[in-house]
Amino acid sequence: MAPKPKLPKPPSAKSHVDNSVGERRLRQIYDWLDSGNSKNALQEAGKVLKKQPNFLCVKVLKALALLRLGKEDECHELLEEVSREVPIDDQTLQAMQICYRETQQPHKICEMYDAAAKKDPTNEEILTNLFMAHVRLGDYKQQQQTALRLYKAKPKNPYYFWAVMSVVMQAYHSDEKIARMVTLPLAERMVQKFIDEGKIEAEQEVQLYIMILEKQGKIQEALNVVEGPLGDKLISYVTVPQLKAKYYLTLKRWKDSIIISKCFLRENLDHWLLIKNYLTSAMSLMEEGEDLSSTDVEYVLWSRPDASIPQIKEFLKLLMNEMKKKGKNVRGPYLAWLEFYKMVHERGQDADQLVGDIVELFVQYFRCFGDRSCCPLDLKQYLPLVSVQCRGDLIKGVWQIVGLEDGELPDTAYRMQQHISTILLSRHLGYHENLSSTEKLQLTTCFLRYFQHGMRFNVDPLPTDFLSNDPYLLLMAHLLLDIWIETQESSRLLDVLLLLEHALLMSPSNFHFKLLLVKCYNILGAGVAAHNVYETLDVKHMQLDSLGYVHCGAVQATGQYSIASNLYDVTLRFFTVNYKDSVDYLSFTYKFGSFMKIEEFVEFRERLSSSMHYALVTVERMLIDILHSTTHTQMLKVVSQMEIQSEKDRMDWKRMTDNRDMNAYVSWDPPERQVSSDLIKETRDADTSFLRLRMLLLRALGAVAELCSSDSPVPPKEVNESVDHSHGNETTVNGKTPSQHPLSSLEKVISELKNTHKSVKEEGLKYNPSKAIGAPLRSRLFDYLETNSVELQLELLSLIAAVVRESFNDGKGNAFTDIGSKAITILRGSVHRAIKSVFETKCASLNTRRELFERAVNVVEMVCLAALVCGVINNILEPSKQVASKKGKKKQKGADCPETVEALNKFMSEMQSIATELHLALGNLRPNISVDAFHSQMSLIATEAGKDTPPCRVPAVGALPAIGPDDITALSTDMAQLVLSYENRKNKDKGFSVNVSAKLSESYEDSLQEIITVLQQKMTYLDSSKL
Amino acid sequence: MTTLRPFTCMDLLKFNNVNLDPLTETFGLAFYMQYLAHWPEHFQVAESPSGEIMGYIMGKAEGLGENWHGHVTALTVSPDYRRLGMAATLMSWLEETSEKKQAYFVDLFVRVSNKVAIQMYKQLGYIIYRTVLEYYSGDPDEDAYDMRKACSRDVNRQSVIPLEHPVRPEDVD
Repeated sequence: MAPKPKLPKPPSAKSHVDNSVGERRLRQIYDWLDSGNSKNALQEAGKVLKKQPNFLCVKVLKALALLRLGKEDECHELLEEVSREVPIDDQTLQAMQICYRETQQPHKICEMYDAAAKKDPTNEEILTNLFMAHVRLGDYKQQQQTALRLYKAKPKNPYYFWAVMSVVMQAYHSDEKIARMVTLPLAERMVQKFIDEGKIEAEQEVQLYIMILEKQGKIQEALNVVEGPLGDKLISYVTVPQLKAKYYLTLKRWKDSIIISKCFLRENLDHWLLIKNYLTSAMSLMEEGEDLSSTDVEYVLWSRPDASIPQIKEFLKLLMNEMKKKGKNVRGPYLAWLEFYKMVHERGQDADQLVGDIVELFVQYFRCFGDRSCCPLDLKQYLPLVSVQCRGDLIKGVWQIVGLEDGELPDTAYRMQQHISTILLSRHLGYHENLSSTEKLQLTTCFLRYFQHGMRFNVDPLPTDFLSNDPYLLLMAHLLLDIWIETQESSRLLDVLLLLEHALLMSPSNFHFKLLLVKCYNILGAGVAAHNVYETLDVKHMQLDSLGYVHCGAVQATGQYSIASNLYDVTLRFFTVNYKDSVDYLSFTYKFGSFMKIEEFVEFRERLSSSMHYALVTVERMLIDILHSTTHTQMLKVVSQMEIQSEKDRMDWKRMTDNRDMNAYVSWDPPERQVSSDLIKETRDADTSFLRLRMLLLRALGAVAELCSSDSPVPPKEVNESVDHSHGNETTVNGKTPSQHPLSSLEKVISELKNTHKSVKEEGLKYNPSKAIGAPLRSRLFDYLETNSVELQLELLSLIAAVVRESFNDGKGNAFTDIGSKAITILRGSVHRAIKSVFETKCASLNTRRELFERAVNVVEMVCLAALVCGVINNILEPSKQVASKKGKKKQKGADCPETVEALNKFMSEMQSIATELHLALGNLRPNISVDAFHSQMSLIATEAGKDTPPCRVPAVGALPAIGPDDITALSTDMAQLVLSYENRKNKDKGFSVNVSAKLSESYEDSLQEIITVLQQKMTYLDSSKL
Repeated sequence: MTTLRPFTCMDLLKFNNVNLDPLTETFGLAFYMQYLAHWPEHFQVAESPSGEIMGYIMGKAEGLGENWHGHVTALTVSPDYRRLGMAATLMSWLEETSEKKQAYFVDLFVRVSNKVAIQMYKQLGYIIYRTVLEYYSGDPDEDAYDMRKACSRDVNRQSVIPLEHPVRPEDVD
């Protein structure tokens, strides 16, 4: 939580003789406010004002105290009074600024400083504050003008460059053509003027100039600056060599680019960017047909603009030699060969012939870095270069370096790491893909042995470090997941859970284990269990946005409403607090002249505020609150606090950003099983559709609540007309846009919902279960559509609209018989389908538990909505409401009409009976929800496997051994317990260190209870709503 | 030195493989932005050839007169990229930047229990300048070592004469 901003203390040294008492008391008020004691602050301020009624600052502090005591109106009144006096002393202005910030009126801060600046036009402090006020609002034009005024008053360089930067920002937000033709040239001229007059002082000013030139594509000009006298100033942020290298490349000055890259590589052999620069430039120079003869004279090699493959090879060899000479091993020069190979290959040439044997290049790297965990990560991107025929050679090549016999356990940590790298590479090459499930199980067993053996290499392991043999366990989990994907045997998922829970006991900081556990528990619909692990990840701040997707939606889909609500609250707090805070840092960038960061900050703020996850969480949080309210009055109260904009869709769907970190899950699967851009798009699209539908539901509920509290339930002019939905244009009265009548809003939203629903269905988004480990869980969209939730919403909302209109005609109508009965049919159909095809069948397998809960959540939500609508209709027809609105010209007749009352009661009885049926069905799930029945049918240790068939060979492991009981007893401590617990699971041995079954069962029971509770509340709600 | 580049806000959205590490604190957005706004050159990220974040360093320049120094606020390397000298590379960037800013020394705080880190800083030439009592809050609170390395401007190496007595956190400026 962000602390309240500390109030600026009055400067003590400045106290005037006659004012010193006042100053002291002022300080006292500040202290009260700071310590949160607004009451005392108010009293103190009152006392001071009695003696000095014109002490403006005290008045403002009084206003602040009032504000914090919830008396907003009085606060505004007092502030108005002070602002009419146009204060110019810093103390008062600062205090007012705090008030305006707390009331979220940033434009008032501008107005205030603007007025002050008019009164005291040369006051540097006031103008600076005015500038910053404009920065907060993002008003670049005003920024520019204020900065120039400031510069005129106090000709200091930073002020001038604030103006320049403000011009640049105008370009950022304007049309590209205008930016290029007008705005940026203006900014350039402004700086040029300063250069001509020899006024450039600071590094930041040069940075800004370069930025302006770059934006206009004036690379040569930028290079001139960098190479000229101004370049001397560039010492810290982006330095001259870096810039030069970049510009030479853009300008296709290959020779210069090669030479500068070489020059800096000589000092820094591992500079990957320069290696790539060098290779790109040399390859390009070669294509232009330049060639120079070969040489082996070193100083020539360091300065020659290489233009042929042999020359590049000479240089890469030189890099290697230089590295050996310096006695240190870095990855860059090794990877340079692979990168070189890739470039030649991509140009359609025979890289094996020209550069060297690809396998040899891999082996060369592996020899030095095979024992580091970065090895497979570095090599991954080059693996596609290895042809299918050569893959065997590659594995053989690295396997020789590891130097283990088939099935031999590594004798050193070093070898174990190499072994791990080899396995990961072979998995990435697809060697595990073609194994049968039995073979995968055997392999899993093998890795267990390697893991167990590897424990000895962890000497005094720190709980904060990963264990060096952890990758074996992660691979085991991945293999078991593979088997589960193939066989859909849920016992394999239980194996994964058990394995990872145990792994965490040994290596408590390994977040890969945790992330995978969260995923597996969520796949199984165990929201609580998933959440318990998720909490140990300590996801916070930015991570709430980038990682929230792995858990938030899933946890709500299992009916864990309170966990979901808490997660949503924490997430929303992050977004609101940080959006406010980050604007302060935007003004800091000007203050410190960090011009390079300004666009980045603005862009980032936009990215956060338009985050998809943010929007989803906001809408879901509100819907939970509304749909779960226990009485109609509570529902109205909840909605009234939400400021739902029912009239207009304020979302800019096209600009929604996807901030999910899709690389969080580590995976060694072959490329076709990695998270692809298609998958990212697919899952994003599904979430967007879901969000749009949910947003419309929220807006509709907003309109419904407004309708309940509206004086006249029907728009005055069109009492007897139907609303024409087609013209969305807002009419203006006296230049003001009248806010729409809630009934019109509702009808508009209904038609929007109808259209959106139609287009979502037409899009035909399908859930494709992905084999990628990092794939997000199934979007909630699919079951939402499947349950016919939206169909029901449309009928229920239309029913409300129809009832309102009827009650204004003669009270007679067919709303209930027409629309109401449709709603009942839909709801009954959904509930029956849920019971028959989900509750009664999907309980039998753990795999479908998530579906089970998600369906339960969705149908219960449908009942919630139905109950809520009953409450609303009741409210509209209620006689007491009539009395209250008697001032209105028209008298409502609805409640007078016995047919209507009867129809409503009948409607509600139908709803009740459906709810009761659902309640019964959910209750029936209770005895079947436990997981005891799902113990593994097949033990993890495949003792029998491989007896009849020839043993399968796996790279880096060799022939898969059949494992006997003796091997199990040889395993010690934790892992033995793990294995034994697998073995004995069928016998319900109590020896689990982690009782996964119990965790699942508890989670299921808890979810069911939560869902049933919500349903029960709604049944009571229905009871109490009867007329 | 591997390729370092300035850390940007967008990196905050994808640094999970570094920050999920239990010894790496994830701060509030404001904290990162303060550093990015004020000392952008002290905040660098090391990127792997495949574009992943290998680690980053976050620091600042502060102090008056002979106390003008570079400070390491956070230094972290992803578990996947350890044992490659990444931390040394990042540290040397900050030291160079501090040299350019004509600092007298570079300093940092480290948990007294974090033996691995202390050992590494010693190898990089840092000395334990003083102990700060109960600097890290927790259960129980933990002391910090204030470790220092002199820059070339501190010709007489005045800044790295260790203090004999520990200090309280409120005495650290």
